[in-house]
Order: sequence, then C-alpha cells, then structure tokens
Amino acid sequence: MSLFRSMEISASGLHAQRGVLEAVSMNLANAHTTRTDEGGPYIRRQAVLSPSPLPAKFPDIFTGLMNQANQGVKAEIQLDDSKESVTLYDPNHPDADEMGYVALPNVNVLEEMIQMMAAVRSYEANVTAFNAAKSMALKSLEIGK
Amino acid sequence: MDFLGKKLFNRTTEVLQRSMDIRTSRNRVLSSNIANSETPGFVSKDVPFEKILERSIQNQSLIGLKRTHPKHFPGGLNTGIELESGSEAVNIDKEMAKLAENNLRFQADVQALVKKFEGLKYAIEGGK
Repeated sequence: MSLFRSMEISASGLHAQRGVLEAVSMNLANAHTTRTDEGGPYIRRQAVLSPSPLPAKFPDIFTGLMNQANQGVKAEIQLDDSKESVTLYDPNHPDADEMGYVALPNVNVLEEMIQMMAAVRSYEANVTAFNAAKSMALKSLEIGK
Repeated sequence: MDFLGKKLFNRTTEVLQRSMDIRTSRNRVLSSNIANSETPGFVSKDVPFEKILERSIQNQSLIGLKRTHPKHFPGGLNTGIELESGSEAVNIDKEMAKLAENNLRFQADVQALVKKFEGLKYAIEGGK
C-alpha cells in the first residue's frame, strides 16, 4: 500500500531532522572545548542532507514506480572546517600558545540556535505529512462500513 | 464485469477508485518533497492529478493492463505517470497546502464511495 510508503518517507525525514538536531547539540555542548583527542580545538559538526531512495519493493518495480519519487532523505554528520577557528587572548589558559592566544572552536552559538529552530520546524512539517497519510489510511477503512 | 455488475457498479466506483489511487501516489510525492525541504539541489515534484485521471477515463480500462490469461499479474496500475518538476528549492508552505488539499479531497472521494454503497444498500433493502 502506497500510503505506508508515504509514512516511510516522512519517517526518514523525521530521522534526518533528528540528525541535524544531534549535530547542533554537539556543537552547542562543545562551543568552548579547546582540546580534543586529535589535538587543537573542537571542530564544528555539520549535518549534510541528501535524498535517499527507499529500497524498492516488488510491487513498486512491478508498477513502474521504482524511479519515481520514492525519495526519502538522510543526514550525514561531517566535520565543517570551512570556517577559521576563533582565537582569544588569554595567557593564563592552559591551552594558550607562546603568544598567549587560545584557539576556540569555529562554532557560532547564534547560528546553531537558528539551525536548531529550523530543524524543529522541519520536524513538525514531517509530522504533519505523516499524520496526513495516517488520516487518509484511516478514512479509507470507512469504505463499506 | 458481467452485465449486472456493470449496472450496479457503474463508472462511479471505478473513477473514484482511480482517483483515490492517484491521490495516494500524490501524497507520497508530497511527503518526499517535505522530507527533502532542506536538501540542497533537490527539485520538488508533483503528480498532475487531472491529466492522469483524464487519461484514465479516456482509456476504456481504468484498472491498467488488459489480461489475456487469468494467471497474468495485474500490471500497469501506475504506469504512464510523469511527474511534474517544480522549482529548484522546495517551497514548504506550498507543499503543506497541497498536502492538506490532497488529504481533504481523498476524504471526499471516500465519502462519495461510502454514499454510493449506502445507496445500493438502501435499494437492496427495499428502502427500509
């Protein structure tokens, strides 16, 4: 039944937005981490979204739907080193260099908060889409009542 | 379908059935757009409902391929659907509006089908 596919797609959207939220939480929690196992300050994590086709099921192939919009979405968490880390003059800090500068993570707390709000809104949109599919499925059970 | 079947279940049921089928597909496509609303480079898609229904009504067979043998699989239920590509960035408001509209119209189709069956039942029971 195609409505269950809709639900699967919405579920993949929910999962992806959870991934975005996970990256945001990681960044916010580590916004001031100056030392990591790899050395240097924490590097910002970024959730990269990309379409991911749902695994095709037999009826889909049969009815020619395989290449059509069975597109879910997936989030991959990657390191974002596109932005320079910020330096702060604090000679008393244990991680300060000879010049007295401490390298702070390239995390902008304001940006993270905004991304968090966007992820929450997207999550809600996916919940609405899921509920639409659910109400359609429930309504169709009324046929022949 | 035999003669009596055709008289009882005229095209109303068939058209409604096809309409609900397309609405279900459309729901899936819109869900996909919403799930990918923040995916870079994703192009939104839509199912041209009217076009497909019109084509189905013009073709005599609404239920797909003609079967020449009873053991053939029923095929081609959704073939011939070409998705319309929309704008590059997904407009989430538009997609939500389309989703709500699609949902309501599906419920209307179901209601019409329910009423159709209720009418038949009423006639069968002799207007009791």
